[in-house]
Amino acid sequence: MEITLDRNLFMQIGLDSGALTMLGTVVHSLREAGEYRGIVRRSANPEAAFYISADKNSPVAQVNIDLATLANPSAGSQACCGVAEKNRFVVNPKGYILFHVSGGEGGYSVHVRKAEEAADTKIYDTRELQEGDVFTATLLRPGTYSVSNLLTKSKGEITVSYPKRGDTAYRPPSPHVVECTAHGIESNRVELKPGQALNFHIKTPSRIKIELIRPDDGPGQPRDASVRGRKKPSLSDS
Amino acid sequence: MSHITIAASANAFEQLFKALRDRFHFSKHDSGDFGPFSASYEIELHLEGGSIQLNNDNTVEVTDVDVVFTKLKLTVCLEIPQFCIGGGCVIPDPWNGCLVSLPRICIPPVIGGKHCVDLDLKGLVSEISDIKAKLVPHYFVDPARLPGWSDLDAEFNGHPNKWRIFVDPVWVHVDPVDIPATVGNLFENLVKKAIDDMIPSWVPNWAKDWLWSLIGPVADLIKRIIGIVGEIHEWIADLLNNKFHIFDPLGLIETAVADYFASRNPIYELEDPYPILESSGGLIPVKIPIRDLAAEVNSKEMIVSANAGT
Repeated sequence: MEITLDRNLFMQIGLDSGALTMLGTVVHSLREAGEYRGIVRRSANPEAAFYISADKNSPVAQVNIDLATLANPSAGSQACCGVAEKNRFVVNPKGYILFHVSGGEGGYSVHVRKAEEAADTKIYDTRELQEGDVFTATLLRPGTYSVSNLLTKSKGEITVSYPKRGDTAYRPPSPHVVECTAHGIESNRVELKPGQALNFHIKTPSRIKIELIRPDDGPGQPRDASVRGRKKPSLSDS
Repeated sequence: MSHITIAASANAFEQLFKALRDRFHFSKHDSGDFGPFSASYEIELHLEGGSIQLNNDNTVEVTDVDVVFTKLKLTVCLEIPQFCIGGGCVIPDPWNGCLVSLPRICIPPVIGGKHCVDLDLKGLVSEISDIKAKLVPHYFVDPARLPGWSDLDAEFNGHPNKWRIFVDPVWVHVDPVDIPATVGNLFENLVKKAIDDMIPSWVPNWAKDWLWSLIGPVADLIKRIIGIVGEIHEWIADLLNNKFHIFDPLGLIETAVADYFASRNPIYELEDPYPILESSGGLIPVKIPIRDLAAEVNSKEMIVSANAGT
């Protein structure tokens, strides 16, 4: 009897804070009380709408919004309620909204704005993370990754070590934290254990993109010949 | 003094007993569900070997009879737990641990169903270390005999009454099944293969290695699911030897052996009335009724005595 696994968990290797997939999350705080309307988009296409009440009297400090369930109500892993209830959320304005993707191909971004007609109402767009946001990337595939902030053009490198079968069951350590400032990505070389999350605390407008540049197939395994993002040195280059 | 005395030497008695022993076969199966795991067993066995001793205290003692399992299949089904990642803290709360935490991603997504492994333990041997028995005669009225039949009718129809002599055990002791440590290793390997088979073939090798790192050593996983602290082969032995009061195959074997010898299969039987002369030349057979049959043993022989007449 085979277990049913979401292929995207192991096949989607890169991450993009502006196109969320299963292993990426964005945390945002609304800060101001009020009624909000959000749109889930894939590329430029709106996929679903949802509503958030930022209520000062609410004790809820964290609300998880599963973009996969909103975009495809029948497929989400947290399908439990009627559609009308599934797209309404309540959170304290000082609390946090966590956008995540429970399954499927993903690639979602989110627009959130106050549900009022004023033309100058600010729009929050996950494709441009704001100060105070947190983007979390969980990297499973061992190897070396490039990480870049597309808005500040800063870069860094992440290495994910190969999993080891030890004497005890492995549990990924606590998330590693880096800050994204106007000056770049703090600690631009990060070493992670397999499955360890990396929290990007956003201090300047950011869009974080992570790409695999050198896979690690473990001890004794042949290296993947298709190394992306690097050019093989040749005599003509020198 | 008895009218009839039949004696069988210790050697002849041993041959009678061996023939009886060789006809013994036993099979049984049982199962049980214990939450995160379930187990079932199937056994088929026969008896071999052993030594027999006739005692002057009118008892028969049989020792060291091998219980040979021609089938001993133990099936253990385990509910493989979920292994989850995520759940780490995104925004710590200085007073209350964590203000915002990541959602968890679990593999498999849903707990459900048990994964079974079959342990073929055929060939293992236990032992009936001791049977202490007395000879007990029983009068047997053939249930197929019709009420209107005379003794001659019953004989001609193959349903005569009989005196039967049973070896009636006072006790039977079957030693616990000894499970070698290699069975624990075999069980581990089977569970490992069952988990390997659960992982879809499209999963890349690095991801399989990652999943196995989460699962950890298989022996630890098995112990965690079943809830044991000792060695796996010891748990299997305890399961089969009724330490947990779940299955009691040994008790069933002891009962079956006792029942087999005490009431189902006589070591010796005599027709009643007993034929003195066979029928021949148009004459009916000559038979004498037997009463007051008794059977006893001493260290040299079995003696069956009876009186003739009604």
